[in-house]
This record gives sequence, C-alpha cells and structure tokens, in this order.
Amino acid sequence: MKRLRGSIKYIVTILICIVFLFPIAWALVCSIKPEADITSYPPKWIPDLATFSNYSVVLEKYPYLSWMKNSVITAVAGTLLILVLSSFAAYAFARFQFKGKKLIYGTIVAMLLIPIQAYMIPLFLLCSKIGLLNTYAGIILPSAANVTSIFILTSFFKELPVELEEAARIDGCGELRIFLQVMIPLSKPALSTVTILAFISNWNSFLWPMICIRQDALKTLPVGIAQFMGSVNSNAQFQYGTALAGCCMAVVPTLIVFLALQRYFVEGIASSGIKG
Amino acid sequence: MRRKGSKLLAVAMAVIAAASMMSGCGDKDTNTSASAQSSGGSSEAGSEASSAKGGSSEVEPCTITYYGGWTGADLDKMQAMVDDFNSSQETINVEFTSLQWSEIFTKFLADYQAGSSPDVVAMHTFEMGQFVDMGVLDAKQVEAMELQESDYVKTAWDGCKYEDTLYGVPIDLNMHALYYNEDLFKAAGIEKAPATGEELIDTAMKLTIDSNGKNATEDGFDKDNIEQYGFGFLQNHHAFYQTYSMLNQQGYNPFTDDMKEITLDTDKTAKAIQFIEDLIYKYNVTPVGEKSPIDDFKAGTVAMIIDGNWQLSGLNEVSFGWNTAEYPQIFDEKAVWGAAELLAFPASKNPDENKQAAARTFVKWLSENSAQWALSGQIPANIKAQEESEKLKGIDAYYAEMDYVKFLPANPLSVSLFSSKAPSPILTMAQDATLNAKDPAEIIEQFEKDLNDVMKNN
Amino acid sequence: MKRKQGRIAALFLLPYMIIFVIFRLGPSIAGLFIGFMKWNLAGVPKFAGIDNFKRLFTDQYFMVSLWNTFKFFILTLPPLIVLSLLLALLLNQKMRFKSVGRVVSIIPYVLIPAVVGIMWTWMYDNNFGILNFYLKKMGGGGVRWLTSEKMALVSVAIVVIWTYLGYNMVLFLAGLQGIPRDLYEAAEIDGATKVQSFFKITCPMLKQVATMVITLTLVNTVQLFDQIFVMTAGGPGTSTLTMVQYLYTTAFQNYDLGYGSAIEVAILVILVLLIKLQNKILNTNEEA
Repeated sequence: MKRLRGSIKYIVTILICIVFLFPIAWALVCSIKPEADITSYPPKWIPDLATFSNYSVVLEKYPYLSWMKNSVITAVAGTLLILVLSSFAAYAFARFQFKGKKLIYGTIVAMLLIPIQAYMIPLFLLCSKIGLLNTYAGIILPSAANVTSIFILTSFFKELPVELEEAARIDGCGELRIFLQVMIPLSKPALSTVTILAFISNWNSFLWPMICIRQDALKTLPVGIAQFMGSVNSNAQFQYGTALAGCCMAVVPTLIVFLALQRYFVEGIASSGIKG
Repeated sequence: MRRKGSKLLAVAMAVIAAASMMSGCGDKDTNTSASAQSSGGSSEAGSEASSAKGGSSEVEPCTITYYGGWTGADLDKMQAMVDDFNSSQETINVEFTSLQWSEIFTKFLADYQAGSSPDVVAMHTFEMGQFVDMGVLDAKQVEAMELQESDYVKTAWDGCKYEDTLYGVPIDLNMHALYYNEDLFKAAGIEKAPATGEELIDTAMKLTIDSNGKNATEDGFDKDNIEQYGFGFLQNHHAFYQTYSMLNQQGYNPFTDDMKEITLDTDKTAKAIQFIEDLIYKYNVTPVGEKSPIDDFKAGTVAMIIDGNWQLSGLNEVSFGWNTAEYPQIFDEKAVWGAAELLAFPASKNPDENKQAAARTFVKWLSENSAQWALSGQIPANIKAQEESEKLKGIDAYYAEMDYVKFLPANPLSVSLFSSKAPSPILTMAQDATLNAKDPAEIIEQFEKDLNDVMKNN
Repeated sequence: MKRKQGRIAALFLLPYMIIFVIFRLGPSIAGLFIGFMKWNLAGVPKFAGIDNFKRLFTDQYFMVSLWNTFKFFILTLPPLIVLSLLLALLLNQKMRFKSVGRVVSIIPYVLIPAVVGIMWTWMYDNNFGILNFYLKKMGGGGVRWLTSEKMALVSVAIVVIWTYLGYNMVLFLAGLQGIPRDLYEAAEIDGATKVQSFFKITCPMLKQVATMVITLTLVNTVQLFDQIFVMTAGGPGTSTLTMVQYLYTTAFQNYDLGYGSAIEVAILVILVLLIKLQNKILNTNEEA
C-alpha cells in the first residue's frame, strides 16, 4: 500500500513535468526543423532532417549577439542597481522608525497596480528631456524603481532577529556597518530571490526598451526578436523557424541565473513574503 | 504630526507630477514657433532640394533616421536596400529602425512630441489619414521632390493623396490574389484556376475531399470528416477585406476619405457576406476558424487560398507545383482589396534643412532603386524600378490586378475603423460571418452601428 | 534616538526614493492626470474635465472588456490557487527528484511572455497544431482553440495558468515550509488524521500566503497583456478583449491617450476594490 502511494507520487510528478515541458520541448524540436517541415501535418517529434540552419540564420542575418550583449548589460546592471537600492531602502522600512513610513511604503507598493502602459508616455517624455533615450541608462534607471524587491526585502529584514543588531551596536558598530556586515550576509536567500525575480523582469521587459531605444545596435533581445516574429496581425510572412530558434537562445541566460540561484529561491520567499 | 507629513508628501507628489507633465507638454511655445519656422522655411528648403536632386553632393554629411514596420523577409530586403544606399555614397548615413507597425508609429509620435522626429517614416495609405489629421506629416517636402506622376502606378500614387495633396512617395503595392496547388488540381482533373464566383465554388467543391476519398460534389460526401479543403482564407480582418473586394465588385464603395457617417447598402453588403458564409457553411469548402491558410496551403491540406503577395517568397521551398491567379470576379466587375506602402516625411519641431534634404535624397533613391524590394514579393510602385526588378514566380497575377485594386480610404479614423485588433468594427463583422454564421442582415446592422460609434466618439 | 534614526533612515531611503519618484511615481501620476485631457500624443493636450470618465459609462466596448476581464479572472484564479497549492503539497513531500519538479514547473514563468504567446498560438492551430493532432488521434474532434468566441478566452486562460502555476507553487511551498513541524507532530500524537491536520493546521497557517498569492494573481491576471496581444489581439470579435488590451488599443492605436488613461483609472479602482474585498473575505489586514 505504502509503496503504491509512493509510486503514485512519482507518476503524478512526472505527468506534471510533462505538462510543463511539453510546449517547450516541442518548440525546441521544431527549431531544428527546416521551415517547410515545421507546419507539416502530421506533426513529427523526430525531424526528418535535423538542421541548425534556423540558428545560423538568426545569428548571421541579425545582430543577435549584440542584442544579447545589450540584454546582458541592461539586465545585469539593472539587477545590481535594484539589489543595492532596494536593500538599503527596505532596511530603512524594516528597522527604522520615521515619520510617514507607512504612507511612503504604501505608495511604493501601490505602484504594483499601475502597469507600464499607463505611465510609459510621461516616462518617455521625461527621459527625452534629460537625454536618456537611446542609452543603456535609459533602460536601466527606470527598471531600478522596482517594487517587488522592496516588498520582499522589507518583509525579510523585519524577520531578522533584533539581538544581532543590538549586539553589534554594543560593539560600537554604526548603522551602516551593522547593515553591511551583519544583516546583508544573513540575507542570501532573500537577495537571491530578488536577483531571480529582478533579472527575469528586466530580461523579459519589452515595451519600455522598445520605446526608449532607436538604434538597432542598442536593442535588447525581446525587442529584437519581436521584429522577426512578425505577428498574426501584420501582412507579413511568419517565419516560425527563425522565431523559434531566436526564442530558444533567448531563454538560456534566464535559465542559467535561475538554476544557479534556485536553491535559495524557495527559502528566500519562505523567509520573507509570507509574513508580508 | 503624521497628518502633516502626509500632506507634505502629497504636495511633493503633485509637484513632481506637474513637472513631469510639463516636460511632456511644456514646450508648447517652442512647438508653435518651430512649426511656424518649418512652414515658413520650407519653401526655401524646397528650392534647395530641387538643386540637391541630382545627387547627394550638396548635402552636408549627416545621419538620418528611418522608421519602418516590416518584419521577416520584408525586413531583410529593406535592410539590404538601406545598406546599399549607405555604401552607394559617402555623405548620408541612414539608420533604419524596424518594429511592428503599431509600435513603430507610437515611437514615431512620441519622438515627434519630444522634438526628435525621425527623418523618414514608412506607412500604409490607409494609415496616412490619421497622421495627416494630427499634423505630423510634412507635405512640403514631398512637393519639393518634384516627382512625376507618370513614374508611378496610378492607384498607388492616388492612394498617397489626401484632399488633393500628396503626403508621401509610394513605394509598393500589396493585394489579395488566389494561390492554387497545381498537383491537387491535376489529381482532381481541374485544368484552370477559377475566375468567377461559380467557378470558384465548383472548383473548391471538387477539391474538398473526405476521409473516404469522396469530394464535395459527390453523393455520400461526409462533411464531418474532411481531409482536404478546397479553399481557404484568413478569417480575421482579412475576411473583411474580401467583403470589401466584393462590394467594389458590385460597383459600391461606402468608405471615403471624408466620410462622417455611414449608411450601408443592405442588399449589396448582404450579398458579399452571404458569399463568404456559404463557402464555409453551405458548401463546406473552407475550414471553420482557419487561422493560418498559408501554412495549410504549404502543408497541402488546402488546395486554394486567398492571400497577399507578401507570401510569395516563402513558397520557394514547397515540394509541389503551385501558381497564382487573379482574384476571382464574383460579381459584376473586377476589383480586389489592396494597400500601398509609402514613405513620408515627419514634420519636426526642430527642423534641420540639411537632414531634410538628405532625407529627400534617400527617399528618391529608395523609390527608384527598389528593384530589390521585389525579391520579397513586393510590387514596386515606381515603374522604372518595376521594370528593373526580377519577377518572382506568381507575381504576374498581382501585376494584372494593379489597375483595379481598391484601397481603403485614408480617412483620419481609418486606423480605428479598420483595425486588426479588437475592438474593431471590421473584426467583429468578419468574425460574425466566418465564425458565427450570423444572419447577414444582423451583421450589417451591428457593423453600421459599430462604424458610426467610432466616428461619433473620435 | 528617534530623531537620529529618522536622519539615518532618510540616507538609506534617499537613493531608491530619488529613482522611484522620478521614474515611477511621477510618470504614473502624470499618466493618470492625462485622463482629464484630450490628447493624441502628437498635439498639445487640452483640458477635457471629466468627459473621458463619463464616456466609460456609455461605452459598450468598455463594458465588454470589463466583463471579459471578470470572466478571465474567474477562469484563472481558482486553478491558480487550488492547483498550485496541490502541487506545492506534492513537492513538499519527502521524495527524490522533487527539486527537479520544482525547477521544471517554474520554467514557463521564466520565458519571454510574447514568446509563450507565439508558441501556444502555433500549438493551438486548428489544422496543423499539435494539440488538435492528438485530440483527433484519440478519436475526438478538433477544437477551435483560438478561433471560436466560446473557446478563445478559455484557451488564453490555459496559457496563463500554465505560465503562473509554478510561480504560485513556489510561494505556497515557501508558506508550507514556514509551518513549524512540531505542530504536525503534536497533532499526530493527538490521533489526528492527515486530512484533519491539513484542514486544522495547514489551511489556517497558509492564510497569509494565500492572501498574498491571490493578490498577486489578481494583479497579474488583470494586467496581463503580452500573451493575449500576441495570440488573439482581443478577438475573435471582442471575445478576449480585456481592459488592458482595450487600454492599449485606445491609447496606442487610436491615440486617444486621455480616454486610455480613464480606462487605466477604472482598472486601478477595480483592482483596489477587489483587493479590499478579498481582504474582507479572508479577514486579514495588510500591514506595512
């Protein structure tokens, strides 16, 4: 009986994995088919002819690697900036008493409810005034005003034991040193969580980089990929092969970041968000 | 105490909000003065351009920006042409940016508002009215190019006009036509592509085959187990385009550049809608809810489709014989939906005459050297470029349609009226016919109301 | 002490607040202000009073989008809560490869949303799509996933559930791991069955996480844009036209930014009301 229940667990898990992986696997398989075979019927899991031509087209015809470079630069810089700014600010919310704290915190969290479509145009006009269009800074700085990270880190810092802080204070540490040398080293799970979420949102961000960047050489991956995907709505040929190949490669960096930090991910959320 | 703090913050927020609004619309003064300058200075710019016409020699070296909305194969060819231009001379460097159409337009308008308009922007004729209405296109520059009407396909040339002013240089035409699978034709013993409505239905029925190998004209045909369909078409806004073709085939076109209110001819519109519904629901020759006819065609599961010339270059690799034919004449006269693409010059809050001259040089070059453009299935609007271009297989049918192609009007509200994204009067109309098989009278009533609502609200 | 804390707090807060106010708060408030304007982006905004807001009440498309958003929310919320909780319970058990399960289930969340839309559009195709291929093989008829007004919203909801399920699962998993083990041990000693301890211990202890998950799901589904935009652009007809899609078409195709902003204000009001309602039902209060 027990063994049966045990194996049911595994079977269910495997089934669930299949559901999640099925579309991705299908996309991967089709990305190595020639264009004509991709939409052929019946669909085949094993390509008649495996070819990397879609990948080479993407790499040769488009400045794919420079898009990749731009995405890496903006996503990494944006994520680092988020980590630094948010952890300082969140620490203040969690550990200091000051006037208007609730209001300021509430205002920040309320911004979660306003989507980019609603503030994109004012932001654009602002950035054009201060000369941020067509620059990496123009992509990075707005992304640094991240809200989720404040939310997660504040909850996390609140949970850290006060005793540590007091012990350090007795030793004569200043607030900055307490923060940097005592609190931050304890915050690995929460910081990992923030890193993953911030990186994903920066990496996948589309509307803002699209509006902000004009030169082809400065485009990020989602913006670049959009131009060879075509759309169901435009009078254009839809090239599945190149689109799929481009997409498959675009996912790799986020997966690396996720896999590298995933073991802290659950822990990070466990120790923070829930008490929010 | 807390009260005071929150009040302070509220004030601070209001100030910031106001400041960031100001940055948006604060340059009201510069705006008007700049536009006055541009209209005042444009006659000067005009004379300069005519002297610069011969080549780029009179233009100071500069970089100009060019926006377009092409994707896929079109994008490749356009990029190649821009590269050719850049290497053909040394003074002007064109930076080409392409996103999808609606996105590139948002970028263009935001840039205009910020005072950093691109120098050239591509669009379709039916989209032009919206921008003319906004005042963001500079017709003076087109005038300064001193183009000859006779150098261009007439329909495309006329499409670039709004209230008798030319707002852009036509570069190409797109149309619907019939693609057919020659192998499947042979197998069914059909010799020529259908040219009329009856022929279309008859041919399509012979090509619609069930799992027992029976076609739709035979007894015992099983319409629930069809393996191969005779006829396919896009059942989104393109299905409206077909209605539009069929209205024009009845000598009727209710849509004009200056329309303010629409009353549809119920009889003619109903006939067109009924024809489409019958293909799907009466004769069963078209799959319900077809999403991608070109892929069905390539897979050999649909024998004939209606699609545009932008698909031509993608058919090189297919393993069966295929060809194209003119859009069937279903009613009294020949007519088919089409669109033209054009290059326009954005107005600018900070006009730079040198860049404007450079932009004109580039547009002229592109329009005359667009032979390469034909390689992605486009039909150049410039006759000289047309003659120089290599004719892609299947393009002949499209060339034949050039004299009777019908564009949607360049009404300022065309983009909203004929939108491919919901909410859109034509999308609702098309899909009520193709997907819901609603009664044509009911569809027309709704369609008329939707169209008039859009015109009333904007 | 308090005064000094205030000054230090200000120093800690300042860098973030500068960026936040300039790049997020300011533009957002300005964006909402546009609701009182008539503005086509190219011209000069004109003050329009509350015209845009009045128009909301007579606009059939706005009503349609409101209704669709509501239906979409009803379609996605229960599975995203129930299924993700079940999955979290499963992956919280002692078993091998559970970390594989966790990683795999969150992969969809990592993908670029527009790409997800493209992938599914293509799997959903009536004729050559792989889903209908298997359905037909199993003897069923093909389903018109995205080209039937009845199915389209459901099909989009499936994609959204697929995307966010793993993410919600992780949130629940975190909650489960926050429950002290000794509570269960004590219950076991008292002779409680597994089912009993699930309802008596797990459920109450998960209330806070559940609240957070529901709030996040609410915000995510109401604001969902890319996937729908790519897959259906609001069609067929207006069957997948959600409020955010309507906002986008209004503001960035018809360039009626004032009305677009009024729609945004409506979205905001509805979100706030829903969150309030949810807190009332679950009887919790969010604290700063």
